[in-house]
Amino acid sequence: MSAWRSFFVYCREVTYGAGNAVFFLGDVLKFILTGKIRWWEVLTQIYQQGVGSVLIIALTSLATGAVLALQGYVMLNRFGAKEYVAQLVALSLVRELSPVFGSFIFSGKAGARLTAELGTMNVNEQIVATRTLGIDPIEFLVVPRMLACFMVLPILIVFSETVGIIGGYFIGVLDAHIPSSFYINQTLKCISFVDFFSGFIKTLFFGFLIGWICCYQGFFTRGGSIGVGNYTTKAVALSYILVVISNTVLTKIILTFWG
Amino acid sequence: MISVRNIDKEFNDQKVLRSVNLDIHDGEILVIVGASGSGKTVLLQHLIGLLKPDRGSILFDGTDIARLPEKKLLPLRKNIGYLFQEGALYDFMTVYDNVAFPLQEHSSLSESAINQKVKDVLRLVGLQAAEEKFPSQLSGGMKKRAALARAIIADAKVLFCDEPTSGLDPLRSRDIWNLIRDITRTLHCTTIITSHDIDNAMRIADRLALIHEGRMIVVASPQEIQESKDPLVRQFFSE
Ligand SMILES: Nc1ncnc2c1ncn2[C@@H]1O[C@H](COP(=O)(O)OP(=O)(O)O)[C@@H](O)[C@H]1O
Ligand SMILES: [Mg+2]
Repeated sequence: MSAWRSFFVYCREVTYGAGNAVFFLGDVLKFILTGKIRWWEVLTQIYQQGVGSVLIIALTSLATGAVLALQGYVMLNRFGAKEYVAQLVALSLVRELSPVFGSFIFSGKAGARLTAELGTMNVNEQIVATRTLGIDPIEFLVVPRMLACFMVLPILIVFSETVGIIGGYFIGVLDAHIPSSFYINQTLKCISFVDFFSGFIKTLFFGFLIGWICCYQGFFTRGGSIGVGNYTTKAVALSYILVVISNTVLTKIILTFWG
Repeated sequence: MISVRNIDKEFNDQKVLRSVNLDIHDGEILVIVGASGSGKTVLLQHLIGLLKPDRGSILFDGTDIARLPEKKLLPLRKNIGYLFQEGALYDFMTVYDNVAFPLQEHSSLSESAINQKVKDVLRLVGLQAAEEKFPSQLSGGMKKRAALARAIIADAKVLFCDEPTSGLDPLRSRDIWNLIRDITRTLHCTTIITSHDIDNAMRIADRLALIHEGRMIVVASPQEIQESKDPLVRQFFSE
């Protein structure tokens, strides 16, 4: 009986939290749609979030591209199709790997930062102090962060795709001895607009999702330094889960329409 | 003038305010005293609509702010200052930027006029040397001064100070109390302070309010408090 009860309480809390998060998003969108945007703050945030994640994304993308080429070469060689390594690398990166893994890394770096920053401000009463100054804390502190998230992730992902392809290129040319011009040609030829765009649409959605989750968790952080730790972990874990799930759904939808 | 009428507040079944009544007159310094956990901060936060009462009303110059949504409250707060117990300065801004912020947001003053005003206020609170420091580089007392500067910079009509001197040594405490009194007299504002520093409260207050377990026990001048026969009042003020 008590297991049912705690399950019920849990469900109620999740529903309540989700409802709250929707209202929170509504507040944020209201400011964005009415043009109450502090562009200078947005730029600062883009810089902080972008610079914070760029190195680690470059490194992981380079390695991912290289591993794809290494494994792809072995597998394709079995079917006598080793010329297709360039395609394998480029299409996997652009359609799936960069958007999804890039978003993971981004939520671990920039997303965690957002939650921890807002959470600390909340715990130190800086958010309620903003209200006493006659300023809406969502407009001042949340809108620029969420907007920056939404704008900076696509840029990072395109960067990640490029770096990943370069990683694959090095393996393809240096290790598998595919002629350089052939590799480049194959890469450029194979990426169609649809391939790029299907990945890009997902990226836009992930950027929005990560910004929303991480800002929401930070904005409602309670319970001192332990709370900041809890809510930050929760924000990152939720981002992972929702990115993975929504990726599956989005992939299905995109494939249905575009094949 | 602020009138609190019969407000009740509960947090998760804990009654924190019980039918509190209080009238605050223009231009006075009212000190709300009480043991810690008695509900001083909660009461103060009700007075500017940061918290909403479960029952009762709070009239701020005739407007019942207990019924106003946050959107309508924000503009009203431009003319009030609220000093948080821990300062609550933005830790990503320097002291200068923290103090200039309310003016940059709400006033139509030019950048140079703002600059002048910030310098004046920082001199008033004795922080002219610390303008370029970040809050994390300040001592507890300096943080309170900086927060006080931010609270008064927009010519506050009402100034709220939550435990302005908790955690400070007696000398610094005395300084800050005097500073708050001087500011109140210069700006002709109404000042509401919560504290459990009884000596300074008796010295500075025009009137004192004693709150005990969420109930308003007495609201009276320092002299009346001293002559009071109420056992609770005597017990608290003779400590
Ligand atoms: N947001 C809150 N949620 C739950 N309980 C609270 C909250 N704020 C204050 N309380 C409780 O209300 C009581 C009074 O708190 P407070 O007004 O901060 O006391 P103080 O007189 O020391 O300022 C305390 O017991 C505190 O635990
Ligand atoms: Mg308090």
